[in-house]
Amino acid sequence: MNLRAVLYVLGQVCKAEAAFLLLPMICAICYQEYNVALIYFLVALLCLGLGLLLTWGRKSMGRFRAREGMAATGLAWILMSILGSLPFILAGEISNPIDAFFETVSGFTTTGSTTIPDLSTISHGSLFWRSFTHWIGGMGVLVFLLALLPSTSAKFMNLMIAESPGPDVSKLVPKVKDTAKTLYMMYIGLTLIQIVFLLLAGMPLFDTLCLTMGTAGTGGFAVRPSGFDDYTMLQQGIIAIFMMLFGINFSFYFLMLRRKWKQAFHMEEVLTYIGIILVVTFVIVLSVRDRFPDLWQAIHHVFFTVSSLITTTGYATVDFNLWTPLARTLLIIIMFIGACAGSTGGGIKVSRFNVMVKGIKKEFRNLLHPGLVEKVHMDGKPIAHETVRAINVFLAIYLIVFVSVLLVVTIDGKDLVTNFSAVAATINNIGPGLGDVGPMSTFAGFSNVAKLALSFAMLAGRLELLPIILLLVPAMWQGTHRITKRDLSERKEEWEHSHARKEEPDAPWAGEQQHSSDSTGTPPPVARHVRIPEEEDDPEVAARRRSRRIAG
Amino acid sequence: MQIVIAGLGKVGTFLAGELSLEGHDLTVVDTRSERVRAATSNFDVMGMTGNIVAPDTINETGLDEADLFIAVTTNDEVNLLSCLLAKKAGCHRTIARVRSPEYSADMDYLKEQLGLDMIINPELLAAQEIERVLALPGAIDVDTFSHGIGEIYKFKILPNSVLDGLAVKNVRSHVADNVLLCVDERNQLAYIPDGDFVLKGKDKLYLAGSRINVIKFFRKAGLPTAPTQHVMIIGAGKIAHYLVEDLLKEGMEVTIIDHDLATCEQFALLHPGCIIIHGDGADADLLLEEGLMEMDALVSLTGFDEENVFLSMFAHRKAGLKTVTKANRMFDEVIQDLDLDTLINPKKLTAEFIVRHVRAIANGTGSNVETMHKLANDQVEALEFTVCENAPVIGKPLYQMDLKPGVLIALITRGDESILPRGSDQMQAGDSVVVITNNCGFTDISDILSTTPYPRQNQSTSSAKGRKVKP
Repeated sequence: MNLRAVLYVLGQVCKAEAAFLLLPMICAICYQEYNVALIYFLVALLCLGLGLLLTWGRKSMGRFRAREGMAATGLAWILMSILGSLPFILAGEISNPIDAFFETVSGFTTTGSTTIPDLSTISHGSLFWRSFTHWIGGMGVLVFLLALLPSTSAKFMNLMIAESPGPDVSKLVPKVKDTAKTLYMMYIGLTLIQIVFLLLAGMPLFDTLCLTMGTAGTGGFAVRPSGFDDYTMLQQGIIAIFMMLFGINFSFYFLMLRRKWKQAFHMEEVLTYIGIILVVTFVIVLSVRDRFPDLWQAIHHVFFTVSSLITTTGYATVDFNLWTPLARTLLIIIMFIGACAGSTGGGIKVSRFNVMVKGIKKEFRNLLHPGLVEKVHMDGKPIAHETVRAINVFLAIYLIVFVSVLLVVTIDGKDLVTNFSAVAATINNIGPGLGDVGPMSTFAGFSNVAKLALSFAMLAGRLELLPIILLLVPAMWQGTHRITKRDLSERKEEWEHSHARKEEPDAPWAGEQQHSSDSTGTPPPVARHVRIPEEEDDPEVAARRRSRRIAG
Repeated sequence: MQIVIAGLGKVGTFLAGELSLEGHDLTVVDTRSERVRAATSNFDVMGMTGNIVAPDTINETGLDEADLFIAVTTNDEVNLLSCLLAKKAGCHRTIARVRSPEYSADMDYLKEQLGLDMIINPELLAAQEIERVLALPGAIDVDTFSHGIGEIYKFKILPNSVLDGLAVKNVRSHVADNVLLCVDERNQLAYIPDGDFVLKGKDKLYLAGSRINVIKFFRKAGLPTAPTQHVMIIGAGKIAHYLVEDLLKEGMEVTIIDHDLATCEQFALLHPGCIIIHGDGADADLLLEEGLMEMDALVSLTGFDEENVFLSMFAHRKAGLKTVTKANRMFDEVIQDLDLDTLINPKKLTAEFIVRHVRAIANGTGSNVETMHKLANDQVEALEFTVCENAPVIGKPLYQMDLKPGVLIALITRGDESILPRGSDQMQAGDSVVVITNNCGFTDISDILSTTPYPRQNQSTSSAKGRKVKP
């Protein structure tokens, strides 16, 4: 493990977070919450300081392999959540640090599970920050950094692979930097469109901003204690549709921008995704029809709920905890399926299920024709065996993590439905579950241990398991001390060299030529070829100039 | 620029690395998915698996939007065909690698008929390079510049020569005038020497000047200057084919050894003037029997880098010969440490050739890069620019110019005359100017001025090699 590179990335993440924290500060100032604004400003300064410290004096990073990418991503998310929870603690809005951490993790991982029983006690600045963490976490902070960092080499692709959801992360355009930029452009564009629509539908500006960021990141933090009851059907409808749109693979939008309509509308994953939404909505409407005053109401609320849960957003207009068992079971199933790969949503991802189903079909055919040779295809292209294998491994790890977290959470002694759906809601980054953690209640009832376990589940779910799990594997850290030792000695050498040179300049390397002549006390050279008579009395300088003429 | 590269062999991979470092948008295509995966994980490029001649692949690679298409697959015909298809798809500039001697006999005809931008032949390039070195055996490497009368010569300072322990400022009075020491390579680090720089034995020096003056310098420095007469070549491949053709014209005596009888026979048909031996080139007895001791130079061109390296070491040790070794880029640093005389890397030559061309295209107007050579393990670039009418460097004496650190003007060629620049010299329109610099990525002569921003951080080159350039 090359610690230097990992620390460099962490430092950049801190700097980015410092910038992010300024937005809630501005929001707090607008609402005249000056002490809250001050707290956000101080935390931003702390982040900036930490960031500068970590990136100070690092010109080269050394090797940056897949493992550094994984470690940097995992650690960055944990660090980001810790720093992001400080304002809640300092402002006294959430007294328990574990609760604050849970809340921030839930924000960044776009989960939307909350421990705050009464939202009316929270300042506007903090409400904005909660929703803003959704927006950052949706597309990912490292992708954001990749779009901004000046020098991105191919190695940084490892960060993107580690952070972006989906079984097979690939670039849209040749350069990592441009890909990251394109993704964020589409993300910002869609967000702006939704803001415009909601404003036109008459929603207040603050609610519009917060809810849009929650929708864009498929997060799910509400802004009002009353939830969604205050909003009109139209406003809810707009949110429902945009939730669905943000759950679609962003390659789809990229193809649309490139005017490759045919290719875009033939993406199997998107078709399956929309198909699932339609079928599940239809079945649930049939099942819960009699609970609503008329059919339109039923369709509206069921579509909202399905769209909210399959994209793992977690907004709720009605308490689906009270629906029929069939409806609740279907909702649990789509929670696991999740959104498309390459979207901002969580869950196992539709494309993984696509490949899995095709893999199963292939196995069945293989039983009928034992000598069969067949490749799994997706969008008309064969899928590499490694990808299929990675998906199977993913499902296995997913199951293990799920069961482990469930076991830890069970210690609290709550009932099975609550525990099961709480873990499902966090590992899939949804937010509300069923039972005691239903849409109208919170996670405040869990113990600290359970909250930490659920935070772990959220991080593991958002980063698709491996970056977080690998942090716990000792082999990942092998050789760290050796590389760090070498780095340190190299830096020491460099330092000594640069200081020794000041006293005795000799044989400068090409790039240093100018410096060396400065340090001998020569006035800044007009040009290397010039001959200034009064300087000739200094024999050393004269000799150097003479020879320079030979040498150029 | 948007560039599509077809074929990820050694040249394709090398090009992908170099061009992506220069900041171009690259798409690489190959039929072998594992090659594509390796390229995308190592370089900042987009990969595509497929046959470049298939319509589907052409659509998907975005050839219609590309500025340049480079075909370097193993197959000449595929290269030519894909270039034609790329042109049809809307990519106006195409470069094809064509290796087979049958085609390259009249490359200009092919280029014109098919409307290609450039046809490159790595083996021919390598043969030309070897020939230049054999003409002046004291030099390890000779880099020519297209307009220039002057050339840059690389040589190694012998431990007991006059140069050992001499400060650069004294070189003029002690050894020879009219040459310019550009770069000194010591322990694989490059220095642009100033006056107090003391040369040491085993240093490798780059020297700019006209051929006659360099020969004079070599004579005084105790380096061999007589052209080679007897050459032994191991391996009768394509490079040998081109090389022998030229060497025979120069009147040298050539002995060729190859282990494959059919190759030998074909070679004998094509080049009746040389001695062709069928036998194992790695057999020391055979080499001695065929007169290794009486030779002037040994050129090892077998398909195996290891064999070439050992052959050259053997020849050097046994007979003290001038050796030329073909080695493709592998464990570069180790091969450098072996202190072989001249190393030839056809893939790298080709890639440099293309990179130079790409830079010239990228700078559509202005003072183009005419020639580019990478010196001292890619730490330093020697670039030749043609100064155009409106260049900001014209009409100013050199001493008034505010140059970037690490930039050295090595040669100015005006008409048939090459000038070693002094402070009072000026550049004129139409001059070709050779600039030595450790800042990579210059595309225009105005880049040497400190007022223009750096085109690209040099850091990427040095860190990419995994070895730090230390002061």
